[in-house]
Amino acid sequence: MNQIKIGAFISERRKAKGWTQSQLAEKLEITDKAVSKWETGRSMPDLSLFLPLCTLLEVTLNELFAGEYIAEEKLKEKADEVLMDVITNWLGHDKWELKESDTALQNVLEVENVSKLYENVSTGHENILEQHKTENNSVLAINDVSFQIPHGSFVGIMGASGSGKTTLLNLIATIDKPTNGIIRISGQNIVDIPDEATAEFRRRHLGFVFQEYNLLETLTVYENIALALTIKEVSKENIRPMIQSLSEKLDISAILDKFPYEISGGQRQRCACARAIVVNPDIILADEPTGALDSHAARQLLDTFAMLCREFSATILMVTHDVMAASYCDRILFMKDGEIKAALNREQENKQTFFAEILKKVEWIEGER
Amino acid sequence: MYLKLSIRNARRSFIDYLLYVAAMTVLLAIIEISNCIAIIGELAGFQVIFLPLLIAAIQIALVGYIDFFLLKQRAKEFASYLLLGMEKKRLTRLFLWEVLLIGFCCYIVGTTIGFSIYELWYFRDSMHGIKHCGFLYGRSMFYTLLFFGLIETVCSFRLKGRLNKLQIRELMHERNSNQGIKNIGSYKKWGVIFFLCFVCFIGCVCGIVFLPEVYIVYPVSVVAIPLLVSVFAFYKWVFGYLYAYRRMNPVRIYQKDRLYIAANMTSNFKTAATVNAVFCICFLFSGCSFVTGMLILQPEFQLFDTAMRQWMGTSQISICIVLLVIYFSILSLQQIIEVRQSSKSNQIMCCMGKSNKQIEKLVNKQIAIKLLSPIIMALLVILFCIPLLNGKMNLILPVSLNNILLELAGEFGACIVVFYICYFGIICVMSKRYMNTSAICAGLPF
Repeated sequence: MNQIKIGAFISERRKAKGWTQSQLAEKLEITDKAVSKWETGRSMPDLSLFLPLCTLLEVTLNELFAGEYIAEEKLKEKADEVLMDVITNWLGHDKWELKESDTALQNVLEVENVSKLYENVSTGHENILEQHKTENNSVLAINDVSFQIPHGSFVGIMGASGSGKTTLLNLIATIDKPTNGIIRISGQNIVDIPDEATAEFRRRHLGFVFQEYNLLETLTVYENIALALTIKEVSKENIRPMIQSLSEKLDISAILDKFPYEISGGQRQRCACARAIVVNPDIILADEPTGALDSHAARQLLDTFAMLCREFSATILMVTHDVMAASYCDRILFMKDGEIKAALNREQENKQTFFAEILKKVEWIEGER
Repeated sequence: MYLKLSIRNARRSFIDYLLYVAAMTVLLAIIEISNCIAIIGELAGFQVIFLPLLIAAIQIALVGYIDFFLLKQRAKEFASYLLLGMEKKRLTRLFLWEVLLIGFCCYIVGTTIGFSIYELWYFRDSMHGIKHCGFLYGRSMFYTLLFFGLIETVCSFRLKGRLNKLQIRELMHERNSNQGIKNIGSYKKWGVIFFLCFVCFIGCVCGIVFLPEVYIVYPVSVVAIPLLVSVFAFYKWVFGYLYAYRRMNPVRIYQKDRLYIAANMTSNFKTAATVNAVFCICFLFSGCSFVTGMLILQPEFQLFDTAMRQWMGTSQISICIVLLVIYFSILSLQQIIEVRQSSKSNQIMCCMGKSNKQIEKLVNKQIAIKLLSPIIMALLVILFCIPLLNGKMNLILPVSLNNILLELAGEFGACIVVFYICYFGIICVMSKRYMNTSAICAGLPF
């Protein structure tokens, strides 16, 4: 049984019905993240959902498991095929669970040989221009970068100003397009997405936490989080319970009715995290989230990120200068001159040991000049 | 040094001051024109002093609002000065001098423009056989200076009071602060006031229509009071209700763009209520002037001789146009500045998954609502009054002028639609400059 084929078939039927993932999820009384997982082949529906799903999509069970329409004349042949498949899988039922956990390790983000060239640039910084200059005063901001980020991991990108990390984040955030290479988020090549569809992609798959100006000043904290759900067209009845349960986990229940200017910087960043995670994005992109915070508030925010990874299986990609912030990550990518110079994985070390290793790595990279 | 600082600050805050400059110049030009009309009218035996007084009252309300808007924009800068050790008294003087300096320049420009327009328009008229240009200019400038002094004094006192109240911490957050209220249910009292005053107003109109002629003078002399109070109370009630509804977090608000629009409308709901009331009054007086002017110009209307009729009718229609221009121009300028200032919000919405088209649509919706909201109460007044007054006029006026009021109301409505479409189109086109594709996402903090 081809899970990816089944997922594509579910997606095709859903779109033919004119439903969004949220609408299908609402009809089945499940989360839209589950529907997203089915459609990308990362998991299969629960047993109890097969029949309701078939009824909604107006397909037979045979067609669902085959992942395609079955013509009348091929009905018997395909039905036997599907039954054989199901029995085989049933006898090796535990393999489904393995597949589920396998897919848990699947990459959320895959960056392959990505480059970004800016043409006819005048930066006013002649030394940088000289270093990166190609013909016609072009600047190679990103040079053949490749890496993967598995699901549920907390990855940091460190680098000096001008190293290209902001440009890389722009490319992943669908704000800019690479000159070469492929960027896949949850299996979808975002380079091919037409401009008019990028907003929908961001809505469904991405969350953002900036250094500042995360929240709309005219809305309360509750409304800021609700706005993200409203834009994603989540059913209005589900909004309040979702925000209430999330705010308890993030310890912001007491400030839901406050405006952003009435709360501290650390609280604002935690609210920004709440807004980013509430829409169940595939990946959260954080740009120097601790940049404007004091050390205590920064630690609280980073603990929040770690909790999101642990309890919500969130995948976070964080750009930072701060070694202390980087020590919270599972993996660090070190960028310099538009390239990834090194990577550091946190195995079993504690934060302090990892902190020291990061410092050594940073010194080594600086010494390469 | 402080004068240099004032001038430099004024230059740097040009866009923020644009609203102030435009409003002051236009309104002072209008006061100058109306003073010229009042002086000429006085010479001809008419009392038209109410017109410049009305414009001055509107100007006090509008300029007061704009002053607070300027204070909001520069509050953080003022907080920085105070942190650096500048005394509050000195800072207050600095800001008030800036505002006065700019106001005085607007006075010079506004009165020159106003007098030139008056010269161009009215000196062709046979009413102005005697060209006492210098006398008229001098006297009108003097009266306008008095009005200008009154407006600046009132607005400066209010601004000074506001600045003195704000502490450094409050100044740091003034720009982003939202207006709030301790008792969310207090909007209900405005509802009661509105209802009572509106009933009084309708009562006065019914008195004008149904009472014998000898008694009509009583409702006519007081009808403006319940009208003005009910307009003010209506907007206080509506905006208070919207604010209370939003703060109750009802489920229905979390659909489409309702939350964002409601939040923007109610973030400064107290000021918005006052500004909408002022613009509504502007609109109502504009309508009255139009109807009065057109009526006077009817040949069957034989209250005055032809020359006087022409002069008065044209004056009234000019007042109508002037008030409409105030209404639409200042509202439009306000919208353009708000769109420019909401660029950060647009960037955040872009990140949350709104496409540029959706953001443009949202902004256009807000513009349409804000241009229309002051007209709502005016429509209510017109709906009740026009049929009643039309019936009365059919009894008084010649048969050839039957239903003239309905006709004129229709013509006025058509003018408004044309104005609305034109200004809406202009604001949408201008606001697009701040919302093109690369601008929204390229401005992201990454």
